[in-house]
Amino acid sequence: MNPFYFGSSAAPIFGVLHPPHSSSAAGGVVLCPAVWDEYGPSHRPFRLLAQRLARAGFPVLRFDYRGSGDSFGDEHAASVAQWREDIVMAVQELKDLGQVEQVSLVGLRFGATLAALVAATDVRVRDLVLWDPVVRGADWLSELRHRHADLVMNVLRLAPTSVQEDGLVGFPCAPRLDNEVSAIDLGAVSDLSAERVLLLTSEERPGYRDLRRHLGRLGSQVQSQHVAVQPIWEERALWSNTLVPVEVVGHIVEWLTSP
Amino acid sequence: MSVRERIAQFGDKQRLVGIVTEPATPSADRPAFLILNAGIVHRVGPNRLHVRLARELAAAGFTVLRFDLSGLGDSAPRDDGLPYHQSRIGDACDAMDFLSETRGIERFVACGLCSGADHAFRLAWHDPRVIGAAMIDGYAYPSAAYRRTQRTQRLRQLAGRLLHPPAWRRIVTGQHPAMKAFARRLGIGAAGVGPTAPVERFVIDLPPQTVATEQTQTLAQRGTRLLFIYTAQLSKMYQQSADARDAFPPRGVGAAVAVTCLTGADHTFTLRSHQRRLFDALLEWAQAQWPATARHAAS
Repeated sequence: MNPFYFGSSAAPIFGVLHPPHSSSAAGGVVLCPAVWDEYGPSHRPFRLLAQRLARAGFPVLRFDYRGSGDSFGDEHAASVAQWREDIVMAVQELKDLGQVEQVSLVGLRFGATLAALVAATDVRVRDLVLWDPVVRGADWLSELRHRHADLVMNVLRLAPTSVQEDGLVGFPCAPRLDNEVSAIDLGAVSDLSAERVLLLTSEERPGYRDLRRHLGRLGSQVQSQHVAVQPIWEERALWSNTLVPVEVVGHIVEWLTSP
Repeated sequence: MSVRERIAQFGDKQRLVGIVTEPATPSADRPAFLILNAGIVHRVGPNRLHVRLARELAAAGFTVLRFDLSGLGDSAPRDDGLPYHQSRIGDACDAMDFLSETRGIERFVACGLCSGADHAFRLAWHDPRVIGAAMIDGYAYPSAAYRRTQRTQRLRQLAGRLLHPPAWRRIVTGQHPAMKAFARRLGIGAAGVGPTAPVERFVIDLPPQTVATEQTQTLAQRGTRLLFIYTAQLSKMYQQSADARDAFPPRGVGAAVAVTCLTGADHTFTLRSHQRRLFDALLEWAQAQWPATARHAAS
């Protein structure tokens, strides 16, 4: 495991390269993390996933978007375009460091959404794993706002505060970013460069059934798998005994290594 | 003041991973801060608190190392079988050795939230190189007044429920949480596994109050600077300790012990305004204890 920085010197991106234990697998894998309060709980499962994939022969790169985690960059300047750029940079970095021509993407929650957008228009990827993706940005923001308001009014018993003043679930969310996220709908993606797509869900949510149908029409070979485990991106997972969904991790490794 | 960050790998077999955040012109004259994991959250901290705090402290002239204790985040587990608390202290000592070897720093301030606060206190007790500890929602003990208030509240809640017909309906039909818990104990119904299984809370290993009090007093006599910060939940315990005999932190130990209650803030500081209040409290305390010399200020 090699932690390092890559990208521009003005705002370096923190990454961790997991070199392959053997050279048996085809290509490498970039892990696209969730964002905001869903990022922290996904660190541990992503580390385990990276270790298992490296053991299966893949060079793996996990990273933090600019302005998040250990990366540099202004968190107030976050944008969907910048997050997508970071994934593209991570793909190129893995191609260079891992000396691989093909790269697969594994994304969790909004990281999965970003990975799908990148695979649709920005870079050609081999396989795409969408782990509990956010299908419609507007619905997700609405959930976050509800969770935030519940904390403020019912737990802290405070008067509602503005997003500008107090952020959204712990993080700044500028109106521009809010608009960008709200406009996203994976059901509107018209093309995917990935040869294969795995839609992995740990809880059934509105929109997944339609997304399955939609992905199936895009020409990629789509597999859908439901593994019922506690949603690991929720903050309460951090304080519970459900630390790593090993079934999900195992399934992703098995699917990526299958021909 | 501009700030720079570097990845640090240290300890036996370089198994510990962290980030050093430091001013552009670091100084070994001022103590370095060690930011310890909160529960099992990796070194970034809940709501990225540790990253922002490290950068604020570095901008104020302090070197900071936030790192993952063994087995957490990106750090590998230990292979020496040390008991839990000893292993945490061992990791923190490795972190101090690393900063001494690479930057010539010999004095440290341990800082942490929740279990990080527990480790910070124990580290200060164990190692004289630690001249300060900032503990957020660390040790807190219910005072007699607090216990009385809690008892009264519980009785009021119970009385309210007994007069609430839907509660009786849920009890009779077995849908009430208490009835479900009772049924589980009898082995009736769902076993409580899977996505809806009860969540086991992460709690810190609280020493007896007499021990924590004695150690706090000893540390204060030793000159170790201690800052206890409490969020909404735990500050209630502190504020209701009207009687100095059951108060924690103990009173009358002089200027070495400071308490800040951030009432209104939740345990992980979800609101940005609460994060700001936390940073301000820590920065003010740090600057007051270890002020910049004219040379530092000029750089």
